[in-house]
Amino acid sequence: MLTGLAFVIPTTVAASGLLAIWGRHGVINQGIDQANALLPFVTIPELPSFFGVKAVILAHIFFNAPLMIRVFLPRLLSVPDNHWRLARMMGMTPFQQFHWIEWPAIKPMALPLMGLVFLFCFSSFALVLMLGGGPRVTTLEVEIYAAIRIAFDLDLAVGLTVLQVVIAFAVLGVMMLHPMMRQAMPQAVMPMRPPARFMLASPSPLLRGVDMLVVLGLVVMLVLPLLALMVKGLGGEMIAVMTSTKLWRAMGNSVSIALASALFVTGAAMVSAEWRVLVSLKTTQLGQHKTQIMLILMESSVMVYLILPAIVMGTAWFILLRGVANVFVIAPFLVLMANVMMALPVAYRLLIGKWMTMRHQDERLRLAYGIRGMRGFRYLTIPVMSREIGLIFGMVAAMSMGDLGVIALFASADFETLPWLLFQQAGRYRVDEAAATAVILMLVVVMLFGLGHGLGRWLSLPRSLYRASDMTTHATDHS
Amino acid sequence: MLEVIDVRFSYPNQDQQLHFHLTVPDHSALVVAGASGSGKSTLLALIAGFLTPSAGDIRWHGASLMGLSPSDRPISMLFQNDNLFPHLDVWTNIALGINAGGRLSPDSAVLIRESMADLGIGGMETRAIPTLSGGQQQRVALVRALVRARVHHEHQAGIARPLLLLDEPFSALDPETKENCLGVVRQMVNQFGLTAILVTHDPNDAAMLGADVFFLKPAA
Repeated sequence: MLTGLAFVIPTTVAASGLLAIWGRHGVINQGIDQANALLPFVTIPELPSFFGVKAVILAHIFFNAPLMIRVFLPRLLSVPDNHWRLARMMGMTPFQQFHWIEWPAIKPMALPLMGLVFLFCFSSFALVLMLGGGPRVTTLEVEIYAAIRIAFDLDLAVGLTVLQVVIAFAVLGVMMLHPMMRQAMPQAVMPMRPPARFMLASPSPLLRGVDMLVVLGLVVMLVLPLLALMVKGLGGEMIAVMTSTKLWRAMGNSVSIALASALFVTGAAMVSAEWRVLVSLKTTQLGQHKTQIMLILMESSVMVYLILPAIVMGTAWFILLRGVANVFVIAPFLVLMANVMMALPVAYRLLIGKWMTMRHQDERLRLAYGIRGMRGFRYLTIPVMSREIGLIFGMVAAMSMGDLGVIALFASADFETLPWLLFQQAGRYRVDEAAATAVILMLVVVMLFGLGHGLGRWLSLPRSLYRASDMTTHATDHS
Repeated sequence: MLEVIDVRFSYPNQDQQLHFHLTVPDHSALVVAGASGSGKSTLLALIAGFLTPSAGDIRWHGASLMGLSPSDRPISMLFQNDNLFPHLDVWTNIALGINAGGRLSPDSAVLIRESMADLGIGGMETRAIPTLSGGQQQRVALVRALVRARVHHEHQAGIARPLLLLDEPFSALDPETKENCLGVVRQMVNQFGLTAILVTHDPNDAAMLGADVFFLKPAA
């Protein structure tokens, strides 16, 4: 469950959490100050500035280590029990067990996953912007943002955007060649059930101890920043922040965009999945070659947004529309569009596997009984896909709520979102205000994710055509 | 002789306790039958050391096997499925049964080749597991068990005869292939003096194997 946090916790919140521990006014430095006040003869030096490469790397580990765990663990758990028994019967050492069983299980995903993590880090924006500490630590996205918002050098922004797009398309080519790459994302975001057994546990007490230490280290790394943030945020400035109209206006904007994005994306993902099914079911009518081309085009058009960073997309909108409209006036629409486009590939990937299986399994029954349209959707599709639909809704709402991407280009005094407000507070070194805003943002994100979960549960409730009243009427008619 | 002496075992969160008491003479085959849930597979897992009994003792030639890891017990086991690592070829799957590091002595390599030829899978050394039929896959697993038993027999002076534990490995095979595999087991028992315990639902298996039948009653 903890590893799932990394998918709903906004980057701005995570960055605030890390600052709440390691920053100049963080928990560690506060502890050092208190210790120095108590110790008369010794002065413990404060931590050096947290900003820079180490902060950026630590933040990216915070987000990507859980991704690795969520992809690798199910693969290790899918190794048949008998293979672990064989290993014990054959007397394999832990290294031999890794070499013959564990590595082959995770190997197909290792390279694609490294590619995906590279992609995430390469196109990182909010973490670098908040923790980079200046122009020495930057990414293409941060430079595009600086070119538009700070230097207003549109030529530079266009040049950097083109460079980013070229790289993105090169990566897309590799991704489309490697089917495992396309599987990595859905596997990472699907809810994980805790393993029912512990066959993986090393029989050696020493190695089991090392395993425990590593797991404990990861838990501390994930939980500690959020705990520190809660402590800092719920203290000092919480009441002042809660009573600010600016916060509620930003909250209203963010929640509206989050819910609208979730609604659009969930609907669009379902339509895309159904369309994909219909194309594959009509292979004989369309012909193998034509179907293949249509499927590749469709998959690519959905996938392309996965690798296009929000800033690149925002820049494109900015340049395209600034001649015909005031981009700051239509900012809410642009932010919504960007969120929808970026969440759609993930949502589609989450849905398509199970959707295809379900539809191919029951297509003959649907045809035989003429269960089409909304009736089929309500009674046959929704109950089977409820978990995924709820997950997509909650995840997209949470992602949109916490996104600090396109808003960085279009935010103005008239239109702010909660992450943008948090970023501004952090940028002005209003540490306590930023911590309070981060806590509020985190709670809203968790609530939106919970809303999706609740939606999934509600959709999964049994739907029956049976009506007791119908039976009564029927009986009365006969009498 | 294998002795399972008043062995008791309960699965976590289950009230029923399984109770086993039996002896299996050397160089013989025993078929273990019984209803589902009577503990047939559990018995083999206890003998193999994958499960630990709550009471009782398991002895092989008078020496207790309790406390020994599965790799230190004189056993080779075949499961109903997943006997082979699908990402490795036939040869590597067999070789790992002899030495988990993958190093083989020339004698062991010769023994593997001979056994493969005997079981009709000669020349398949580099074949990928998924390309084999179900019967061929089980014969690869049988070769591994056979060679492992014989190599252990030659090198482990303290252990008189290896023990072959078969947990319904042939239940999914067609009748002809199944008869063929059971014939190989019978040959292993008669020719190489192994002791085999076969868990099965099929009463005909005992006749094909020339084995006594031990019925397990469902746990109370």
